Amino acid sequence: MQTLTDLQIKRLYEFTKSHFVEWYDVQTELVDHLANGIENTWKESPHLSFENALNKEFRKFGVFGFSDLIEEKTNTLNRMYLKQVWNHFKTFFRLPKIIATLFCMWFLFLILQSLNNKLFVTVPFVILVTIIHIYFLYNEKKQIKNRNKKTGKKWLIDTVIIRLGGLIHFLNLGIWIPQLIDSNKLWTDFSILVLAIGIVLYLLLLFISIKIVSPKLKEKMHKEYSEYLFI
Amino acid sequence: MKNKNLYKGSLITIILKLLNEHDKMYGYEITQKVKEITKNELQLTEGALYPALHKLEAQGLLDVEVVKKGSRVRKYYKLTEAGTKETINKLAELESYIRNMRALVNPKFRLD
Repeated sequence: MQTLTDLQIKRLYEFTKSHFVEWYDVQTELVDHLANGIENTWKESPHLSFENALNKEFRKFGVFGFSDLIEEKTNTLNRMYLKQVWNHFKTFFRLPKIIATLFCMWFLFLILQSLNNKLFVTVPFVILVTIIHIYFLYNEKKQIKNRNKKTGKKWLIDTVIIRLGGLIHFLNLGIWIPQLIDSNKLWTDFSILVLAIGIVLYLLLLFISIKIVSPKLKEKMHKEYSEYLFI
Repeated sequence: MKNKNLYKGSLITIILKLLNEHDKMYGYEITQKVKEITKNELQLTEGALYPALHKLEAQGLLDVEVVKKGSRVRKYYKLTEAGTKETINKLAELESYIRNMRALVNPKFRLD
């Protein structure tokens, strides 16, 4: 059976890249699929050129080519990320962790209640979270840059991790700041309770995403692709 | 294939069933197996197969094994424990659907 040469496989990687698939973890599957398709075509038409056989196989992906696949793969990875966050999040509301979760909420509620000016809590909270976000983004971008440099490959999972599977939009402090640093706001016991619960839940989601789910997904990726380096 | 829509809802079941019968399979192999079993009657499109495989992987029903052979990298899919259980459920659902459809299109056929 006629098989593809290393040079032709390299051409397939370039082909997927020229069709906007620049991530190695997506390219590999497409390249293998195209390679198998071409070899199968050669069984029936052994004289068909490589480029013609490639175009024949590519047409099978439909008028939108690989673009639908990329969109779908990104959505799937985001959903997988969020599902893992949710699974870990739930464990903080089961025994024994729920005791610590409720204690934090109650303790913060007492502190907030005892303070006349809630800004003594909300402003340090905003500053702390901003620092965490900046540190996380800086660190991830540095890792991605080094990984790309060392391996010459881009990874779709990195783009999912840096956006915390889409959770970054919800955790964007910009949408919460007007509520948190409004010095004229009238605080009732109920609104203090909501704030205490909100702060704990926010920190919990941030902790789970950055410290549990992101490292786990990187580990899974490294298990599947040895080229995916921890840097 | 005569009517793609009739098969659309069963794609996940087809994939799970094939993986249940084989230890591990890769995307292209699945398309070829389906073609072979159905004697070219059913051809899975790439645009439908891979999203379905990725979805099953994200749901934890499939596990992935990446095998490197020279410059070629092959991504194999295999059922997880949850995937094996889901295959049983999906097959039971499909069998029930087939029974009901048979009863509807063929009044002589009795469900009991």
